[in-house]
Amino acid sequence: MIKAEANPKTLNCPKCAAVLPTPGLGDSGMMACPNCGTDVRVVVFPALFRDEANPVVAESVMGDGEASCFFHAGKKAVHPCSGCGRFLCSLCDLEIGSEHLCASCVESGRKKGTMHQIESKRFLAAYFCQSLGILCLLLFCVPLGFIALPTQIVVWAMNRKKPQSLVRKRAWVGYAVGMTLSSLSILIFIAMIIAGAWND
Amino acid sequence: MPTNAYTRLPGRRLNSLLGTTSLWLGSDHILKVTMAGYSEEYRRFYLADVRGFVIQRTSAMMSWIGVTGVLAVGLGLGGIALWSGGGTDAQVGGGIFIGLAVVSLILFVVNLIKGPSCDFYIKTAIQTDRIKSISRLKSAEALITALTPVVLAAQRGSAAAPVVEDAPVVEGPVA
Repeated sequence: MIKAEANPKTLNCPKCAAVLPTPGLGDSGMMACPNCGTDVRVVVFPALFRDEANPVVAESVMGDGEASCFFHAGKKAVHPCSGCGRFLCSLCDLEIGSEHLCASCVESGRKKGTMHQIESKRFLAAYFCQSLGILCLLLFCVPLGFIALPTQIVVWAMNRKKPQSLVRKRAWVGYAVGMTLSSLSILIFIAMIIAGAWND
Repeated sequence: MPTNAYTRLPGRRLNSLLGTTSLWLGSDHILKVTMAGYSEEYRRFYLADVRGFVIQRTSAMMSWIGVTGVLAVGLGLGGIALWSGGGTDAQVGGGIFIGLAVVSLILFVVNLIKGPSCDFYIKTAIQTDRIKSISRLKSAEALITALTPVVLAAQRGSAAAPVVEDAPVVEGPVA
């Protein structure tokens, strides 16, 4: 649940939205909301008292020797874009991690999936393969593995070079487990057919 | 490209059958990872932008204790009554009831061990976001302990109010 802030310099009770008493910096300990009595605790950091009323303003080019922004000819360049090298003014400069980028390079990186700093979603192909393998083994009486194994191979081939989870490593484990379980379910199914034929 | 090494922070919660939420600490930000189906969704809170944490105590623990406690006692007594009632069918029914009572008892004890429940919020200048992976005061405490030094280190030099060693606690109906 995300709430937009009416007043960024106060901490509010999550239940009644009343302004909570803050202890300066630090931890208030458990206390009761002065309005609704709910038990709340606040931890305050210096950023709460920071003045944000300093909008970014691009300086104008003052003389012939100064470089101007690629996108705004009248504005002074402050950084070259780390991606394409174009000169950027303060308005166009997007600082992401340790890099200074222009909007088009950010958009290009977002589309290619090469900028993990701004990614908001990733498909977990390895986890999908692993889940499919578990499902095959659970439903080993149904020959699901014959469809699942080729599917897993295609998914692996399509995604093997793509980045997986931002936080969990070793994606190959998911692929390996998934394909092993699917293969196992196929073997179990074949063994059941052979055993049935043998008994008949 | 910088390395994307993340350290896991306390708390993890199952939101649905295929969904979990967890918190990770990066070099300059906190990453909230929400797993939904076969994809992960990310939300970043830059350490320099975190203005505060708000923890609200909730009654979820007491509700769970009440429900599981009543179920454990009710199913247990019903099971014993059926078991001692006679026939084989009644004994099978009694066994099922007692099994369910044991499951309820286990959930009751787990809830007791996990301790009081809470909601945890991170506040920045433009939003207040609830962190669903933190639902117990114990994990909230562990998260505050882990994050406070890194947030303070990231904000060193910000204009700040004086540090209050013994924060005033407003008296009220604390349970």
